[in-house]
Amino acid sequence: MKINAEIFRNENIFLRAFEPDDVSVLHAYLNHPALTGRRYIPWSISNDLPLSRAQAEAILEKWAKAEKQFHLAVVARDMEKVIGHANCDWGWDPHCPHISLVLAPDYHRQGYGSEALNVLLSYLFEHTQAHNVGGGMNDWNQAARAFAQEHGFSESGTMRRAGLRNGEFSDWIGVDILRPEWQAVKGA
Amino acid sequence: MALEGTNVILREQRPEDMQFLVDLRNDLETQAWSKTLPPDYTERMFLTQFEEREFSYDRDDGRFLIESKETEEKIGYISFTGLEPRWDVTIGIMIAKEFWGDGVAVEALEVLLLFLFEELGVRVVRLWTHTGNPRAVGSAEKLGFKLSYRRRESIFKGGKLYDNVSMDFLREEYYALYPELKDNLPPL
Repeated sequence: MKINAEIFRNENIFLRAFEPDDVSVLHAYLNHPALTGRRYIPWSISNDLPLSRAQAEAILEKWAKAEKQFHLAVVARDMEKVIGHANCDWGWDPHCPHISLVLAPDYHRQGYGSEALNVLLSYLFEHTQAHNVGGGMNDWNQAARAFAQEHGFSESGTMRRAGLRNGEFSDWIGVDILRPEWQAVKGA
Repeated sequence: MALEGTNVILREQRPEDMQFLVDLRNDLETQAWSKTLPPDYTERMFLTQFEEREFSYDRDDGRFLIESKETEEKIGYISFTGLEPRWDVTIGIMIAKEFWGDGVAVEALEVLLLFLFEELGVRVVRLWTHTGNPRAVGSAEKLGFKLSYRRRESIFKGGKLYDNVSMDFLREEYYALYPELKDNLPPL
């Protein structure tokens, strides 16, 4: 347990398993207008419609039962409060897992995201066989694109017509980082 | 009526096709999968998969045998999966080696694309392959697909690392290539 705690801990955040009691905070931040279209929740639940508490419970249940995936709560250490979620899916191949990270908008631009991403990447590159860690975001999500690039990810392509937003088609931007690239970023 | 091209038809799978499908999956060159599958599939496995398909009027996939119109020889297998109605779909194809280079893959894809754009009204058709399969990339480009996403070093096959590649074909690009067709789907 001590080893696990250290792997998933950083200076200001730690990642832990979700518990049923987390449903209220999850329900609240997923409904924040700023997260519309970028919730990173199971495909079967809307990414933009208002979510009920029952749907938030269903998300936690799906995450708890998911195979070859993990979904962890991001907790701010000083408040001991859940401020977001970190996902990882290696169902296709553990060589190239896919990750996503969501923080409640009140906690953006305070360094929590960087710490959570560093924990995720350290875990995947130091404790699993991951070689390429990938992710993605809508093309309009400029903050996420910049965040990924700041942390060593490269844009690997554009899947066209991934969605519709404000009357216009949107594309999906894929990003990835290779183990040697991450080692270079970490060593810099 | 089966979907027909000049030289091929796409028809439903039948129990007597199972051994042909086994042979396609058990040949490392034709199995068309971005992770090598163990070449030990059996007719029983395919028959079970075939028999477990359930009737529905709300389908999100289609699976077809590609057959020669002239000789009724079995040529290959083509499918679409993950249909998001009136939005997008992903296709896949396997061709028996003796028909490689005959143009049957391109013709079968043309027949399927016509069905997907004209009958199902999708706006994007996608496919996945990898850089170790230039034949697939070349056939798709010949049809009008464009490379959209390239995840680096994420496929390991035949002792080598390849990039995972996604290609897409937009509705307006398709109709521009076939001026004899008129796109009557309301624009978004």
